[in-house]
Amino acid sequence: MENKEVPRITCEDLKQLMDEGEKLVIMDTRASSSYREEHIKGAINIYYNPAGDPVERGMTFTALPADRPLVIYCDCIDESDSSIMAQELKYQRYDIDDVRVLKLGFMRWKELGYPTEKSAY
Amino acid sequence: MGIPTAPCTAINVSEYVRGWDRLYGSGMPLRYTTFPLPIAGVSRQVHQRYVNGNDPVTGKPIMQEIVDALTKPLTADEQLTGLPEGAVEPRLLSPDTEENLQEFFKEKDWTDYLPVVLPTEERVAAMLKGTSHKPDEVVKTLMWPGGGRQLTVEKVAVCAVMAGAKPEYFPVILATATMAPFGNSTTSMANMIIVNGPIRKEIGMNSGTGAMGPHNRPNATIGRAFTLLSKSAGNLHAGVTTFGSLGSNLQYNNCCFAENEEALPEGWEPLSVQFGYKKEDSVVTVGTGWTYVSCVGELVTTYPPQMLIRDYMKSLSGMGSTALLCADPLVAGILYDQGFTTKEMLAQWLSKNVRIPVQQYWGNGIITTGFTNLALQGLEPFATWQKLPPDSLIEPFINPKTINTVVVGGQTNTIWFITDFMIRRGVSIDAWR
Repeated sequence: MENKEVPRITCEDLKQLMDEGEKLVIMDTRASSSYREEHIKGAINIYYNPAGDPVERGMTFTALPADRPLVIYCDCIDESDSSIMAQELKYQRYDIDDVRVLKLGFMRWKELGYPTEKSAY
Repeated sequence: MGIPTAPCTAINVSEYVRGWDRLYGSGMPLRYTTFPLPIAGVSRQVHQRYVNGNDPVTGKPIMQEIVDALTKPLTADEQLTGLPEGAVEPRLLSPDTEENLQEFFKEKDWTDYLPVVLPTEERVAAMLKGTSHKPDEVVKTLMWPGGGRQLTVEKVAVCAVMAGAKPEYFPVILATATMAPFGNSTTSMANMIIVNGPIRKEIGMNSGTGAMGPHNRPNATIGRAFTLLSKSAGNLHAGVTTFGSLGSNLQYNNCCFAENEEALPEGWEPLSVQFGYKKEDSVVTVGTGWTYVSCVGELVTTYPPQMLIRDYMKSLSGMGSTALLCADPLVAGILYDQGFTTKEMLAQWLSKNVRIPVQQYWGNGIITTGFTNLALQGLEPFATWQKLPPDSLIEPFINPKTINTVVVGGQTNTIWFITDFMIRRGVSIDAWR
């Protein structure tokens, strides 16, 4: 699957869903140091390491709930890391249907001044 | 720019990590400082002695080595960046005797140490007749471990020949190759290959008596081919790039079998149909897991099978709410009579009725390592489970959709296995014909 085939959601639409109280899982694919420094409010962190073991990532994917839409983001051009993660996840987790990638990623989210937070973990 | 870091490692994996980062990680040699063992299970005083002592590899004081690692300028060698290209073996070997070549393949760690069928050009060409796909088509690019390596149709054919497969099995092997390499972890995992659809009968796979044993050529060789291509194309070599502490015997043929679709109770769908394929589609599903628990004896009327399955599921880690039941058609029939008129109903019952103390759940390192951070970040139910008193009962198989059942066996006894194999989305075999 080409990256562009992974469904996208805009930052504006994600913000609206969050404001409406939609139960979402938001996944930050950046390194844990970047995540700890600042991430979208409520996001969890599963790092996409291109040189890392996909089996280990796959095991972490098993923690994700199947009954909520999942939005994945990164801070790279063309949302490439988050798109790869979305493809791996759709393959690994046949029970999760609604997986979307955040269009223009974390940089756009910050540009718009939407809520972020820091984390100790 | 990141934060300057001096990596440290223990003596047992010191050589490995030094080579690993260069060959498979950052592409540059990192300045590791090495600590002696043991680290776990000893007092802080022992740790303090290590810190004040010398690196057992270089003989230099440990703290000085860390300071040097952080402050001395990078050498030209250390300034290299980027992942290296994966090493590629020559397409053809020099002619030699059968005996010498068998030994050579073992020396290269290309085999499972049983004799292989030598992949001559003629044999590989014959195998390639089993598919319409071109030999140079890339099935998958394997990125880990060891940089990018293209797994082509021809390379898969080489492994299929080595495993002893026939050309008509080749589409199944190609479909499994899209999921290569197999699970690779110090936790000593294994894989399971399940085939559904018409190809089971076309190539003579066994879904009946002894289906999960060494009694059928396609079952045996399709499973073996997955191991050979995982090891060779996947670059998995014990102690070098793969570190399964005990390893797993199941990796010899990855529990390869076909579902006994003809013996499913009415209303029970084949695994592939549950994943959205049609009954007339041929599909292979690959799972990764560890545990394989047998019911051992025949069922007794005083204790219905779902109760014993529930009890034995408590011995699984519960990771990802994943369980896979392999049940003889006789067991499936009894479960049906118990009121489970679909596989999904059984999954829902097990999801609600398997309960374990939360301390048992977090007592498994794979759960603690994998999920603690997510719990601390607020992901439910783990965030809640982490705050519970140790004896609190939880339902670890929280998601019924990841509790699967596959029916297999020859109806000679009411036997089942409960496993923790994490089943992934099936792959079309027809696409590889």
